[in-house]
Amino acid sequence: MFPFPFIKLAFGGVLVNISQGDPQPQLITNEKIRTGRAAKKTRFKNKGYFLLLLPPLIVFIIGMIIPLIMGIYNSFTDWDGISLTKSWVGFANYLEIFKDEIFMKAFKFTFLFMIFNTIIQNIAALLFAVILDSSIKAKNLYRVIIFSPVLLSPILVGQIWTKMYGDILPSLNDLLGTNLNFSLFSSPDTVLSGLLIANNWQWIGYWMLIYLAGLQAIPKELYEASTVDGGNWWQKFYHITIPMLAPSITICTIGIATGSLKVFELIVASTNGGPGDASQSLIMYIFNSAFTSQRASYASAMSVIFLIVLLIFAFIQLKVLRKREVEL
Amino acid sequence: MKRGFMKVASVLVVLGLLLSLAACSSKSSSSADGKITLKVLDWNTTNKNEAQKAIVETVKKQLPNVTLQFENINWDKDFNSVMQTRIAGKQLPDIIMIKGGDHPKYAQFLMDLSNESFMKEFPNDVRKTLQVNGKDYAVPYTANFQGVFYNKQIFEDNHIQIPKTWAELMDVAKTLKDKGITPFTSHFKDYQMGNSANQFATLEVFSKYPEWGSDLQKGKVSFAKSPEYKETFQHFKDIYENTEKDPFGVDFTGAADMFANGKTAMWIIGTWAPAQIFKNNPDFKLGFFPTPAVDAENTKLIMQSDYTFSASKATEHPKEVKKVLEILATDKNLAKEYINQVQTQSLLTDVVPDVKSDYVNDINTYKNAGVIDANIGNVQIPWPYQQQYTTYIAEWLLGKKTLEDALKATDDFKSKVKFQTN
Repeated sequence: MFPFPFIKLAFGGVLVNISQGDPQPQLITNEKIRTGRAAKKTRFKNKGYFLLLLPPLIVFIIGMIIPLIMGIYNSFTDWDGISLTKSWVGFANYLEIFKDEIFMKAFKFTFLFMIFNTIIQNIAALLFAVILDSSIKAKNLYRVIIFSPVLLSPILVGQIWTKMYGDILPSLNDLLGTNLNFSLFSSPDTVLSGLLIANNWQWIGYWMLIYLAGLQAIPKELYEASTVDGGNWWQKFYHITIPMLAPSITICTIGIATGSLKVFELIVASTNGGPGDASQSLIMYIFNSAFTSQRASYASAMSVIFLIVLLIFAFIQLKVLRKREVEL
Repeated sequence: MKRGFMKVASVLVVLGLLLSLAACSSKSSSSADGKITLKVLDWNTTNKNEAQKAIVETVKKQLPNVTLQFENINWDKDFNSVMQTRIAGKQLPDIIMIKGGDHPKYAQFLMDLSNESFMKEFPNDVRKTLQVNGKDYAVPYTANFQGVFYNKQIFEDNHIQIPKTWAELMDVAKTLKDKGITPFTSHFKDYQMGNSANQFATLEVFSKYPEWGSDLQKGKVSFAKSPEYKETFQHFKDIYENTEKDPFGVDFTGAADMFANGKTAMWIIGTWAPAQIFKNNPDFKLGFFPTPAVDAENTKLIMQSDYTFSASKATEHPKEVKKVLEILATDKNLAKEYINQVQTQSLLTDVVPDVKSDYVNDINTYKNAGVIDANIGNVQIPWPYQQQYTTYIAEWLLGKKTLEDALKATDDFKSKVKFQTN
């Protein structure tokens, strides 16, 4: 119903004139666009759509924007989370953050987690996608197997891997007669590797699907042309697949990076920041400061810093990766 | 589509969403026929359904128009965050179970019970340990006892005497180790390090200096310069060298499993553990002796006011809430039923549990020899501070820090701690 009256009016003039043999088509002036009856109807419909947008917008403002502003305000006070008084302290919380060793340790851990995750998950997901896009048998079965951990809650994944490292894998030692150290969660040196394995096990399937979709959008003619020109599989991969996948690479890299920086449930369900605080992620430290240590304003200041770091990251990645995208 | 339809539809949707938000409330409610529902925050996990049923039925018999609605959380993980969010949202439940030692933090939001007649049921020294600035904010209900639980069969088979000092405990550990038995059960993954630290500190530090924590706040003492705290930290090394292979990978349920199946001989924990032990092995022969201090004179039975019931200052039904608290404070049958279900000890006078097990008799014997309150340390050195310094102890045990570094880091952390002012 919607487009036809508009087109009739906007182009009606042209149609009518052409059919009448007039070689000069009627100009559609801005005046006509703004005041025409169809334009008014469009604006009214737009107002209607805006009104429908209002409920989620209200919820978004109440649930996210207002707490964000309140949190930023709190970071400049010395509030402890439950007392009724708050007093302004300026930048004291922020200055303390930069001298805080525990913050630096948590930041370093989270950062390393993000870097390794991004590299491993991206490459593995891409590899699996390429393999499972080819014509091997039972590829749907493999896709399901690789994707199913995505459906589990991170809490469950944490519990599963705790049991794996604690009981199941060490019992492999008894079976095979070997003496490998499988208890990756028990030492501060190996806990990062343990968490990386658990996290990648869960999420590779998800990013693999995005790469699969991207792969299937690459026109087959490019590969055929490359074969005609005598290109081998590496050249095809490097010069066709990767550039054409650039939008997917953008999505996956930014998604994995920002998701890894926010890791929380997996760690709470598996090591709880331990042993000691070797695997305490930044979000965990913020949460513990706010609720266990009763330093809500300090936690707010850390959250603001974290938000800025996340924004900078996303921005840099977006800029770098968008440049490499190829438009069809 | 009609003209006004979109407008009306969107307004209705907004109203619907807002109304649904209003339905989320955790305060009490009263319906038109005078029935009142009071919300209770509960973190007991032992036989919680039976324990709650006992309270609900007793209250229903005496106050027919009052229904209690329990909300269950986990003290270790959730209590602080739940309390904080409820306080911020002005949605504190009417009755709150608060662990002894936590009251100073929340006192400003709790009802003052000092002048209530039912508070006179409790002896003065029990009330004093829970008071904040001389005022009562809670009905004391249960107490736990903490110390060393041991496998009686293993001790009998190996003719082991009950140790009275830390050195004797280490001799026992050596004897067991030589026979191929793992002496101690450790579950450093969760709160055990904090609990053990509190036990050791209570015996070594607070028995000699009951005001040590306040002195720490004033800067008169420090961890690095305290030989007693050095002893406390040192105890962990002794345990670590005599415990199972992977203490940082085991949690409470795993530890109970190990101990109940005879894989380890001793477990330094409190009276909330036996229920879990007997779940694993109903025929377990369980004994108890107090955690030994370095000097025999400081070896005492550690007691802690555990469950207490407080009321929210902002409750809409103060009269009914006070009546419920009165029932809890005076009904000895209810108290006995409760502690039988929860398998703990009551703070009401002359209420003893029916649980027939050796460890209960052991505890009663040691009660007469001398009791020390674990909350002295808990109130002066807040729980988050204790948890943080056990992190430094863990780093020392794992070789990442020296003992001196760990003590110094504990001192440095002081500036980040919000001390409870008494």
